Amino acid sequence: MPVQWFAGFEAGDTNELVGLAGAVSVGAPYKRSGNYGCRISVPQSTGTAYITLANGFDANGNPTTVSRTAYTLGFGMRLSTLPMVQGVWEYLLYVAYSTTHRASLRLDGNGMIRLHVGASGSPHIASFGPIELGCWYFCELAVLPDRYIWRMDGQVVSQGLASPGGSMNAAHLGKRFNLASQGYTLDVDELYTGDDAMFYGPTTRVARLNANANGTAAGWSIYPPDVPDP
Amino acid sequence: MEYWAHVAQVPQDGDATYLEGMYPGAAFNVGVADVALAPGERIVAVAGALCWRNNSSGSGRAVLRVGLAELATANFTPGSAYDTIFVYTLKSPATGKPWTKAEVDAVLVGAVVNAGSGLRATQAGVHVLLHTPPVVLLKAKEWPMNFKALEPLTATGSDQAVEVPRGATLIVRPLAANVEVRDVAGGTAKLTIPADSLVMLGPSYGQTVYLRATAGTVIELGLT
Repeated sequence: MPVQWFAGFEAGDTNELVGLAGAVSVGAPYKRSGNYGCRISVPQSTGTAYITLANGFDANGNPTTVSRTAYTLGFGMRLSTLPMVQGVWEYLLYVAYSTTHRASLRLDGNGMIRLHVGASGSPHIASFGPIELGCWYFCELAVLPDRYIWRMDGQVVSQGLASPGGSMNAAHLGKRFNLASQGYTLDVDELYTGDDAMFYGPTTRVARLNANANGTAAGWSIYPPDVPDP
Repeated sequence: MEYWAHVAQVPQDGDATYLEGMYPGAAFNVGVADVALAPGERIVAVAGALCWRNNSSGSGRAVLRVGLAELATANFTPGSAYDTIFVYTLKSPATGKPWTKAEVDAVLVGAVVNAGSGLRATQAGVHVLLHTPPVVLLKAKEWPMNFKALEPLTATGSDQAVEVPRGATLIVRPLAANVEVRDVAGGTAKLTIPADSLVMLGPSYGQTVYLRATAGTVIELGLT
């Protein structure tokens, strides 16, 4: 089953997410397509700000995290501010088993992004950038048991052999853990997660189809009630 | 105000407008706007979205419907604060196959009260994940067309040699009777090409092949 969850914030809220913390807001100015997008304002401090993605749904229809040996995700991203200090790196994406690091993208003050796979202290294995501020990119990462693929805007940045060190059940966008007390501003939209190496590329979008017609109804009362004409 | 308009606000408006389930078995569903697809765009996944809460002690489920086919969450008792739940699927419940635009356009989304009462739905809709596969441009052929028709061979009942130039592919089509193909004249190993079928042999490294069929059988030949 390729895609297990997606989100586009098109209901104007964060109910598609598993969780969030810190300065996270949904609004029209942050959209990549549709009507809404999400802004993560990472503080210039030890504080964090992030959203937690799902990779499945429970029986009640709630977005949830499921442990899998392969984790694929794609998301539209736009940076509007960068960390102030160059040469230190802050988490942009944190893929984990619970809180244990499996893979991450880290951002520098010069707009470079680095990929790390394995333990959190492992050296980076690929770089991309510098990112242009105010531009949307579509980032896709597949972390498989023995290899990885990283794409930006549909083009492969890097692929190769690397082990995340175990299964994964969570992905966080933004600063999940503090590395260098750096802040930045990240807009995200059109998110998906999957359990294989299937990518959908930068044409991915999420649309909402709003209620616009009666179907059938019995036993549901309306509020506010209809007021009969005088 | 039609009842669907009570669950159409985006963002959801809480208790300002809602539908409330009154008794076990009470059900509602609403139609949604048609999906607007760009040329070549495909539907990857669909999620019926229902924002609801419990104002009493009711339990129920969210439902996604296409025609008579239905998908639903489990029955459960939602909390007292509004929350959105999803009926997520990669395939249409009507066919078990990937969604078509017509099926998404026909979707109904709603809820059913399983027990108790007091379930309040303030928003219902459908989310769709779409993407446009990359267009693969056809590459021009490396070489121009090089087909050459040969004079048909009339079989004699014994092996007849046909030289196939190096790099060429021999096209063989026997009419009316099978033809046997050998790589050595008079050899026992053979490949039998049924009558009225077309077979391509090659590319050749400059080989001579031997064709044998019932005397009088016409064998059409070509090179490419």
